[in-house]
Amino acid sequence: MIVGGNIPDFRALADQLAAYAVQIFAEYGLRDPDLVVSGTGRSIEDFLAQVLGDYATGKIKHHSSKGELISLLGKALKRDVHDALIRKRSHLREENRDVTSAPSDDGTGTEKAIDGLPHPGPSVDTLFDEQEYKDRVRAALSAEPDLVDLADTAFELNIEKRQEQADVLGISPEELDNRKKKLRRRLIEYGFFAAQKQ
Amino acid sequence: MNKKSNIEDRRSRLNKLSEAVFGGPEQISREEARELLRSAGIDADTIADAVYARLYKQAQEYWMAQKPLPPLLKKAIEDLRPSTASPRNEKEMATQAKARIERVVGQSRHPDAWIQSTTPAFRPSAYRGKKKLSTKDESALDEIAKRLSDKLKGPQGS
Repeated sequence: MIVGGNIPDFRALADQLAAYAVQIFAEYGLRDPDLVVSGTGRSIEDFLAQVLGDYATGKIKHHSSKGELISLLGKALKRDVHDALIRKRSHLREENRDVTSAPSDDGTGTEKAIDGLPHPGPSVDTLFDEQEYKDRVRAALSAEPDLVDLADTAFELNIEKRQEQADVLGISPEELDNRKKKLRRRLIEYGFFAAQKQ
Repeated sequence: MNKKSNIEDRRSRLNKLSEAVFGGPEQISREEARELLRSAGIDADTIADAVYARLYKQAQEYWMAQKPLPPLLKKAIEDLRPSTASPRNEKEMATQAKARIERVVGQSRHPDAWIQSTTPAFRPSAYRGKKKLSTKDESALDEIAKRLSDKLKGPQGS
């Protein structure tokens, strides 16, 4: 018997969280066509199965006082993606350090060139750099000024509340919701179709 | 401030910005979710089937250990049961038929996503702007015409 609140529809949760995971991938410029955090081998399916499995087996507990279940699971999923990104960067840094400090073929002990090695990608500092994040999002929305304006309510004016954002933009809260919907779509289209064209 | 807490602060700041700009997952309806996945060229059913397989494997561990299945895991497996699995009753059969029709209708509404999922040889755009058909194209079309003609004649001949 399931106790403690509403019975979740796991199929709906899977769809919504999968879309949210795709959004997170796009936000961090992860454009691997296989939807994997490269270097860790963890895919959107892995993140999703982990978070739903943890909830289904009681490792993640939800209480209605904590807010909506999907918000709680979304936060857990985002934390997992972030952790995978951090692990990936640390791993690549270690790998790079090992090879660059290895003696060269002629035994002189000079550092080897790193050409041909897997590119370490941006550091953790860069990955979670606020300005880099804002630039990535703005680049995705650059074709639509009204969406950039929406993003700037948070980026430039630090406004987080729905009503306040709507007031600043001079639109209704419902219109704001529609604009955010469009914004999510643009971000994902930019992230994924741009990757397919590369 | 140590480096770890510095990264934690940055993550939390970016989470706040993301929430303010894009909203949280609770703002994505199921319908929008499927649209978003389609925009990224992802099939929601494929993802759900893969998640089902992982959860089923977790459930097997309980069965093997002869432990009772947690109710939420049981519910997850029921909800995520793939549409391609054999229906266990009439209700499931109806649900699967509905899902299949919705998928076909959905694909027809998004030709871009459909084109991405097909091989170049079957893309209609491959013929767009072509002035003259190559011998290979002609023989492919002849073969299709013959197959259709045979199909039409088939029932009369038998």
